[in-house]
Amino acid sequence: MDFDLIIIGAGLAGCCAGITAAQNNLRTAVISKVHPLRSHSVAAQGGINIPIDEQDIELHIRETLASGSGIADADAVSFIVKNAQQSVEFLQKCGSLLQIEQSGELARRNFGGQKVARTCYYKDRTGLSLLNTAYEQALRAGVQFFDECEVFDIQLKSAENNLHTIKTWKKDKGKILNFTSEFLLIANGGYAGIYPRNSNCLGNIGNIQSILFQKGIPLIDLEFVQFHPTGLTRSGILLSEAARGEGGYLLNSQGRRFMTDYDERAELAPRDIVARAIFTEIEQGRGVDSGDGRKTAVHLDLRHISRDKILEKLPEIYDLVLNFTGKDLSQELIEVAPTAHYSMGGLPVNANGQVLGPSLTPVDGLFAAGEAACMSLHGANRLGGNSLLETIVGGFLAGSSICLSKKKADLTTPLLPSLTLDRFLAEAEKTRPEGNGIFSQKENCNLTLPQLTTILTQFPAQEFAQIAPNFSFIIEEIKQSLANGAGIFRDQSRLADSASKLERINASINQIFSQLEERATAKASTDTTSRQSTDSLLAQPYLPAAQELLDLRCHLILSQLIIESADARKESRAAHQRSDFPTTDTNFQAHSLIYLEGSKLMIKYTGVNNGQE
Amino acid sequence: MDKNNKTMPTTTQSTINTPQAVSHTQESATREIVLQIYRFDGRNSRYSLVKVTAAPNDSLLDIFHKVKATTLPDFAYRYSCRHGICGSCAIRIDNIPVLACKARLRDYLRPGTTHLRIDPLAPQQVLRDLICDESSYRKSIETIIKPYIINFLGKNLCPPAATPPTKQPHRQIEQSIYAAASLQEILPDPDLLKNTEGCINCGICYYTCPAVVEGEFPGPAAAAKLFRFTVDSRDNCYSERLKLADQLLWNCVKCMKCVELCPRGLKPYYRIQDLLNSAYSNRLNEHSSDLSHAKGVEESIFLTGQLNDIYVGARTSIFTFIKMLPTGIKSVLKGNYNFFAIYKVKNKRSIRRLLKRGSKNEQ
Repeated sequence: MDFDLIIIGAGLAGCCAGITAAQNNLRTAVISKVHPLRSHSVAAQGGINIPIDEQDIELHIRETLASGSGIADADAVSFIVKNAQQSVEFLQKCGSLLQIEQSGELARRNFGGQKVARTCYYKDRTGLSLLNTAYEQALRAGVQFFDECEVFDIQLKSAENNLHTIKTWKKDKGKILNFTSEFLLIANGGYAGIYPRNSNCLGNIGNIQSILFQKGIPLIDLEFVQFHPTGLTRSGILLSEAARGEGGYLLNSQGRRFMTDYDERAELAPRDIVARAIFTEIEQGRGVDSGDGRKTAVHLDLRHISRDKILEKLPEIYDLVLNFTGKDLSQELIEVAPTAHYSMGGLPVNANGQVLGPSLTPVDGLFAAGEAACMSLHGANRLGGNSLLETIVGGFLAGSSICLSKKKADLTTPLLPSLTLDRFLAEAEKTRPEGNGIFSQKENCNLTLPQLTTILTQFPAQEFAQIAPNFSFIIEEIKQSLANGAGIFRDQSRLADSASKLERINASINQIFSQLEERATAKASTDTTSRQSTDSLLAQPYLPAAQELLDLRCHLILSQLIIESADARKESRAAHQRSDFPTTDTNFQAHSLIYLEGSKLMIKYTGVNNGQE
Repeated sequence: MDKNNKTMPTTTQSTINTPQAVSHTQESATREIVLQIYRFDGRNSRYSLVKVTAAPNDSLLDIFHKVKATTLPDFAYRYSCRHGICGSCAIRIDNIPVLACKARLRDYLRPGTTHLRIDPLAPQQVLRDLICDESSYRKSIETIIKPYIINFLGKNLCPPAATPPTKQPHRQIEQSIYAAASLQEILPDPDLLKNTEGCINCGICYYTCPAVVEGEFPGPAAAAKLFRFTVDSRDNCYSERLKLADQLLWNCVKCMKCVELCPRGLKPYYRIQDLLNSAYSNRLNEHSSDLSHAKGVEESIFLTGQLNDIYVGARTSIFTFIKMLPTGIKSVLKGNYNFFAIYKVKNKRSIRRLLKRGSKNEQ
């Protein structure tokens, strides 16, 4: 099927970009792993940051940059912040709800790392309200949705082929669906789901990032993964920052509010500081029982807040805690622990939302938005409430960029938010600043990554079930070694351990895959082709084995890349803390760019646009 | 239910659907249970019997993960967010539809038993194991009711809106919402939406609705969605939507299953009634036989205290009445209908009082 624009991922970023494109009469399709309304944007509870007034824009920018610890790009931050108002207002006009005060002003709550209450919300289902609207309006604008479609291969535009080809597995039909398009927008979300304890949904494992990486597209700032301080201990499910924003305390085993020891903002310090404080308390023996007999949690205390206020401001969190721990939030202490939450890194994009190649030049027709992209709004640590903002503004930005590239754009229609598009770059400037010369190339690192396409499309499913090992155990093993190496605190020896373990797994997977591939091709040459296609792994609806193969690939690739990026950055900065290099090093005030050159793994550092020309 | 409403006005009425927070912190003793899980591999269906140890506080989703890791590696089920906000994991436990991630073992294991049967939500549309094809549910919303705010500038232009009923003064917006000067003018009061915007599209109400099975009914979720747009001041298609409600929703059989089962406590049934009431009062001036029939029933009860077939018949349509007259005479002659056996109502006044009160309390 041919379209002008294919968007992978139907969360807020994907839907917002879809609205813009379809409104400009681009034939737009959105491919999603799950039904669009089940995208993980729906789970955003806390809220969205919108500057209160003109003066606040300045402070919002400053606080975002401060939270980014030196590697948030000033131009990206100011663009996003300045366009917050219009973008969100647009969604409000066409269906979403945000809480309004009696005075008619938007209601706002406190969020970590911010001196003023800036975060707008709707109860604690802000994401649900916004995503519903974005999806509805995309439907209205005429975007075609293909849900339950898992992308397993992407062929980017090249000299021979002037269209992107996206190969997907339509899971509910058990069919392979191929799409071609002039423009491709990646908005599939982050990769924090590859950590063992995480707050992400099933699909947030960076599938597209790993496929594109194999095609030579670089990834940026992978080592920065945000751990949210308050996850439920058992499952990692998130208790929104709103709980602390509304006045919740964190207590250690002595019943003391320990956060005051670590930061003057106490519980409302930026997330990385709170997460590290909790981790330190636990390490030093002041943790509380997390339910499995080990002291690996601390208490969240909301008992001093009235039940009525909790039910009014935090109904969803109240329900969540009641349901998953059986506890009444207003009367009992809740055990919480840090959980992997957000990936600051991703596909490097320029100011137009276009993905950059290894040499920092834009890739033809490839765009990214939302958590999948790294436009360096968040730097080394994301400020709470900025992620929804990035998805919406970033989505509209990417949509507008694509329309402008297509020369079809009428961006002044009142059916779209009026973005301040002074950010659009001239052809010559479409890149990021050069680096500061630090260049790391792994000695003899021949990273051969698993290839899947032949196996998926040709291996007979019946036979596969008999001979293939249980991949879910291997996935679990990868998750564990990733968490051991690149958890809240990292050091040389842990990283090296994990790296060698992952290398071993990678080698054995490669061996298994190449054997499978051989058998598949051998079969293909002997059997009649008609039987082949009806019998392959992807011809079965929802085959768990096929899903595991796909999941295995992104776990394997991304965890190795995160470990390598974390190993190369020999300093501590916000979400990346090395116990062997505890200080921040100005030499590393740069983005790490990791990419494949042949089968060599390369890491280089590119400069930060810090707003000082 | 209404009492609950008063004490916790804006919540999703969690206490109805979720267990009370009482003293189960100590209930962590694990025990062995037997799951009878529905399996389907594309050709054959069967049940797998699986023994698994679980704690009372485990969710069914936790238990599924355990089953998959230990005994059934090829067991397929849908899930995503794991905390009840995405609506992916709806299944049936002993035929009760629930979200697997929110269902705790302790609430579904009957005392003294260790056996649970697990079925897919929509047994007729299974793709694999517990995963169902949800396209009929999606269609009920996405193609039937236009689930998006529509206004004059939109692509799918609706005819100009009718004058909205006086009960909703906030809907007096004539120009396009996109061009509206200030947001405050056009935003609806969230309370009017009665939480319908919190629907997570799990499909439980749709796949358990007896009226959907019979066809010609889009289901409670679609109705709630329709309601959400009729009360939203940003939408300009009020009369169109009411017409649609009038066409689609009378087939509701009022079984209240959707109220009972909604994992978010959204009570779609009452929204169906809201829509039908609005549609009904919107049409009061129209001349149509079904409306006259409804009026006839009401008047007959008011006047005589009972249903008088002759009165209702005559009130509905004189033409139909004359057409049906031979049948009526025949049935009187054959003794099927006895004029003289009509019961004399003694206390008409209290019946009238009931009637008045009933029409007031409708909500």
